[in-house]
Amino acid sequence: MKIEKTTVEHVSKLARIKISEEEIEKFANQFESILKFFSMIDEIKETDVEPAFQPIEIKNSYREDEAKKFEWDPLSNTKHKEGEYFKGPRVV
Amino acid sequence: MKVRSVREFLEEAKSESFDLDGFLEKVVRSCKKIQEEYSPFITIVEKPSKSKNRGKLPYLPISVKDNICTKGIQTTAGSKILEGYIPPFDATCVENVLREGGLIIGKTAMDEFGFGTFTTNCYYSIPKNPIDKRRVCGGSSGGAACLTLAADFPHIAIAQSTGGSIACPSSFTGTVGLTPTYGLVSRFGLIDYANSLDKIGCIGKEVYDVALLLSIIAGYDEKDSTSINKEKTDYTKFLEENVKGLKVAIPREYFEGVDQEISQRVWDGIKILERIGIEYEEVSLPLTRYALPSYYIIAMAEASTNLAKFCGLRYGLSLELKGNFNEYFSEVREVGFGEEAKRRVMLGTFVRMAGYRDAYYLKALKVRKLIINEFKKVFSKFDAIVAPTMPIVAPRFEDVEKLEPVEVYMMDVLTVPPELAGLPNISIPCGYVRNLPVGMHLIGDHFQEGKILKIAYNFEREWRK
Repeated sequence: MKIEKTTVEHVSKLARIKISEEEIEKFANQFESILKFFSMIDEIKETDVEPAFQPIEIKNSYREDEAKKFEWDPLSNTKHKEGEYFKGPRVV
Repeated sequence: MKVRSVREFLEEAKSESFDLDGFLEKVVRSCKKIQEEYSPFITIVEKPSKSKNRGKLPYLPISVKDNICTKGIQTTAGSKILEGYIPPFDATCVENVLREGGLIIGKTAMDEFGFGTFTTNCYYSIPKNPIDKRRVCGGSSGGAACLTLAADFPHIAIAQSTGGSIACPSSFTGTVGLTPTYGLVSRFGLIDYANSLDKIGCIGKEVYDVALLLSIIAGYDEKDSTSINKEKTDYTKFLEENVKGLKVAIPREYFEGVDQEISQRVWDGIKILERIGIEYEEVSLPLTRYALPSYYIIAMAEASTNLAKFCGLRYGLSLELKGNFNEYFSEVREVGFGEEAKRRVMLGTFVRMAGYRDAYYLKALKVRKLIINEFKKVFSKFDAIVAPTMPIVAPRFEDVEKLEPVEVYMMDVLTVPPELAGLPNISIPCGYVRNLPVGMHLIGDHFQEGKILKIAYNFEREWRK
């Protein structure tokens, strides 16, 4: 599959990573060979199996829906805060 | 001077007259010297906190891979985006070690978020192989293996593997690396790479060391919903058990494309297993070649969602708040992520995109199921699988630099299949090629750590003779 530079740009936008013109070019070439390698799995025709989201079977594991107090200060690692809140850039 | 083994040290440390301050001073001094020489650390802990509790690991120096959270000690996962991050809590495995009296002496170097096979994809220090400084230590737990080999004091490393990040560096440094079954050790406090593949394990100088540390860190944890509810086990109890009559499978596919001399050393190892009473038989695992592409699709897909949390707001790198949310987010990640992280997040995003999701991501999960079934069939007749850990010995830095990304991924061809299936595995040294260590890989069925550990232990004893 040919990977166009516009595809790389589109993916970088979806992935929320700004990349340079140079990287776009480089990634387009690399993605082509990596995706070719991924496509090896097309050789497997047997598809009538359940996808293994986990390597071992895990049943839903719930705990009581009870509020617990944080034992640590979640704001200790940010400089973007105001009072008890995180502060972020504007959303709209 | 002979370095005391962990076992000898623990006896000594029990004594009331043990000089802890003197010992600590020596350990810290030694760590600094090793850092100058081989750079296995991202952070050295100058004053390790001493637990009042002298449990099963009294005063034993333990290093922790830098993607595992340590309260009050910088934890970066090898990424610039987490520079200066000081976790306000301990990972469960670290908590367990501290409870048993262990000392956290430092955080070890790794590829950024574990994205690498050689521990050369680093924002911080790149460890050099203590056997030959021109060569890499392997990855992504390269710092852990480097320190384990270089340490002139008793020590065990907490490491972590997604697709072979414990086995590979153990093989390249001639140490013992144990990766447990998926879910056996709580991942709470681990900075995830791929949730369905990440396993916390250990690297030590000998089999006893990894069995001991596993006994401490394994166990159910309600803070990790994928943690398995199994009762606490002392894995050192298995070591002295008889191995006579056990049967191991030798899969043909695992010797294809492997350095001839490495294959030879592993076959020498299989002959040693035969000498201690273990039978072997060659088998075929035809799906082996499909493990690598499925693994990389799943790992990158999961990584791309996991790394979304690094958005420059709550912790880690932050910039001046300007522009809208998406602009700010994209910019922080441009500055904070290295090239391989960008590549993997983008590829992971691509394979989950509408129109591609079924062909790549969902298909990879189905292939994974088929591969698990193939392994299960082998384990219905055999106790373990034996293969080379890596197809090469530790390469030189200059040779690694020349590799294209996809060529780097190919290096994981032998470690990935069991990791994709969440199977426990252990790499142990079984000989040398051109004076560089070769690792033999023992793979067990889910939760059969005891079995592969006792084979490894009995092998080690015979091999050393």
